Amino acid sequence: MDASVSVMQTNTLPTQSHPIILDSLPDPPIGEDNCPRRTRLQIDLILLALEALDLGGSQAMLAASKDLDLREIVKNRVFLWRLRCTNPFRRAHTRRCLTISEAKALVAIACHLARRQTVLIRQLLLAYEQLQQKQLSPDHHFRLADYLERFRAHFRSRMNLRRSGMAVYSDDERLNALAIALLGELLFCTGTYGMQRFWISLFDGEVA
Amino acid sequence: MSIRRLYSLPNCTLVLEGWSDATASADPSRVRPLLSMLVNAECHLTGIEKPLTGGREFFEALVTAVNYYAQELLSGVHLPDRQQKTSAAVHLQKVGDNKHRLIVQSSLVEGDSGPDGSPAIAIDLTTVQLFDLVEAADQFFADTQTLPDLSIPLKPVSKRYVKSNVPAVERATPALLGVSGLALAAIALFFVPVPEIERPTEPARESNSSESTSDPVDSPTPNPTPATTPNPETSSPDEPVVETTPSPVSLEDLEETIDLAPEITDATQLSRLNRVLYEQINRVWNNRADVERELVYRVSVGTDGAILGYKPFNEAASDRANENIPLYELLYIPTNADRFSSESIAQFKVVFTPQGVLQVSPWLGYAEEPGLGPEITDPELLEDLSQTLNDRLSNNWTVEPDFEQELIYRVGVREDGAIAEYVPVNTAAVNYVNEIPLPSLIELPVRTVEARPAAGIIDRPLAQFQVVFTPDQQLQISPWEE
Repeated sequence: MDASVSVMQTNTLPTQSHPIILDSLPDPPIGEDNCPRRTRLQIDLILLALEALDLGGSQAMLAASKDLDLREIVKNRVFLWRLRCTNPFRRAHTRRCLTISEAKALVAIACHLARRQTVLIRQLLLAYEQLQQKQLSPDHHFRLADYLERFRAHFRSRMNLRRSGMAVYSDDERLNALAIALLGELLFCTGTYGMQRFWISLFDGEVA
Repeated sequence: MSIRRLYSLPNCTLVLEGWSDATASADPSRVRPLLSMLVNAECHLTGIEKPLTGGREFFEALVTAVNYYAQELLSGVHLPDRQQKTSAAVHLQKVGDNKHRLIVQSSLVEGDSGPDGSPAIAIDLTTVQLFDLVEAADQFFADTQTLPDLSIPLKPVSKRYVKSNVPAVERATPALLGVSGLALAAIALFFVPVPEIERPTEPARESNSSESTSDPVDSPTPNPTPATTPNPETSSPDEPVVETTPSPVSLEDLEETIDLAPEITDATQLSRLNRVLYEQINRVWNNRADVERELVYRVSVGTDGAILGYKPFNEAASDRANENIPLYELLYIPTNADRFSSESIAQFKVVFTPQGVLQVSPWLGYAEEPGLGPEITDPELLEDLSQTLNDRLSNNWTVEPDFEQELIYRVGVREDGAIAEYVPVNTAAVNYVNEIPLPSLIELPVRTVEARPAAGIIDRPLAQFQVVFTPDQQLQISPWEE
C-alpha cells in the first residue's frame, strides 16, 4: 500500500473553482482535460441504468446537480444530454470532449442518485440471485423484469447498434446481462467510498 | 485498555480488537480512543458458521485483496501483478455469473475454520455479499480512529498492465477500437464470458453501409427531385392561367403595403426567413443558364416566408420582367380580404447571378448577429428527433459520395420531425450540398389561397443538430453546440 493515493488526503486540497464534492475525486494522470472513450461510455451507461431504475430520469439528475451545487457544470437538461452524448456509442454522438470536472460532476450525480436507490438496487440483485438459484428467468420477478425491459428500451433507442462491438446487444439476454452488471456497479456506487471507487475504476487501463 | 471496533452490514461484520498506544490514550479530548495496535480481527460472513479470525497480517491481506477486487469488478480490468503480494494470503476470484470466491490461506487464520488438512479456505459470495464485505472494509478505511496507518489504496490501473494481462480480451476486440473497445468488453466481462464479445469490425461496417444505401431502393419512398435538376419543360407553361386570378400586388400596392406594414427587424427571425426564401427560390430556379446579367430584386415576404411582392431593383431585372425568374410563380396572391392586412413584412435582396448562383440577404442587413431562435430542450424529444433525422437522411442518401472532405451542417428540426432549416458549416458543405438529401427533404411552409401555414411556424422552437456526411457514406448526428 506504500504507492497508494490516499483519498482522504485529497480532501485537504479544495480548489475554489470547483464545487466541494468534486474535490473528493482525484484528478487522474491522463495528461489532458478530456476523458478517455471508455470513461465517457461507462458514465453514460451507469446513468442509463439509473434512468431504467427511476422514472424521474433526467429530471432527477438535474435536481441532483442542484443539490450537489453542480449547476455551474451541469447547467440544464440539454447540457446534461450533450455531456452524455460524448459517449462514442450513442446515436447522437457528439465529438466534443468531456472534461475531467464534467465527468466528476456526472459521477457525483450518479452516485448521489444510486445512494437514494440503495434499497431497490439490493432488492433487485437479491431477486436476481434467487431466480438464478431456482434457474428461473428474470421475467418471474416483476420489478426486475421491469428494470430490464426499460434498460433494453433505453439502450436500444439511444445507442448505435450498428457500431462494431454493439451489435451483440440486439440480443435480449446480452443486454440483460449488461443491465445486471450495471446494477452491480450501482450497488458499489452506494458505498462509503463508492463514488471514489467508481471514479478511479473509470480510468483503469487508461493511465500511464 | 482494550478497544473493540465493529463494522456491521447485513451480510458481513468486521470486528477489530486492539490497543491504543500510550500517547493517544492519554489525550482526554478524544471521545473515541485511537486503535493503533490490532490484536485480533474477525470477519463474520452470512452462511459461514465460524468467522475468519486472524491477526494484523490476515486483516491487512483481507482488506487489500477486497479493495483490489472491487476495483477490478467495477472496471473489468484484471491486474494479477498488483495482487501478487497478497495473493498468497487472501485472494478473490470470479467463479461465475454473480459469484465471487474468497480464498484465505489456512495458515493465516486461527482455529479450525477450514476443513482439516486443507491449505486454504474458499468461500463463495454473491455480489451483494461481496459488496457488504467491501463496504465493511471501506467503513474501516473511513474510520480515522482505527489503524490510521492503513489507508484506502485507490489508484487507476496502468495501461501497460492491461496490455500484458488481458490479451484474450484484446484479441477479441476489433483493432480499430483499441483500448476503448476493450473497455466495452470489460463491462460485459462483469458477467458475460469473454469470447462472446468477439466481433470483426470490417464486415459489420460494410453491411452497415450497404444497408443504408439499399433501403431506399427497396422501399418505394419517393425521393423528391433536387432543386437543381434542370427541367425546363415543366417550368411555367401554365403561368397565364394564374394571371386570370386576382392580380398580384402592383408596385404601388407593394410600396404602400411596405410603408404600412410593420417591418420585421429581429435578426433571428430575419435569418430564418432568409433561409426559407432562399430554399423556395433555389428549389424552382431551373433555367439558370438563361441569366446573362446579374438580376437584382427587392422581395417582401410575410411572417411565414410567403413571397408577398417583389420589385426589380436593377436595370437588367427590369428588362427581364418576369421571364424565367421563378419569383412570379412563387408569389402568393392575396385575396382581397387579407390584401391590406397589417401583416409584418421582411424585405430581402435577391440576386440571380450569371454563374447560376442565388444570393439572398436581408435588404437592410442584420442589425445584430442572428441567433438560433427558440430551441427544443426536452432531452427525450431531442433523442427521438435525432433518430428520426438519422433515419430520414440515411434512407434518402442514395448518391455515392463524390466528396473527399466531411460535409458539416447545422440542421434545425421542428417538433413534428420536419427538417426546417440547414446551414452549411464548412466550405465543402456549401460546394457539395446537392449531393446530400438535405435540400430535397427540407419542409417549407407554403401559403396558398386556400390555406396558410400555421401561425408563427417560422418562430417555432427547433431542435438543433450537427450533421456530418463523411466521404465513406457515414452519417453522424450529434447535438449542436455553438
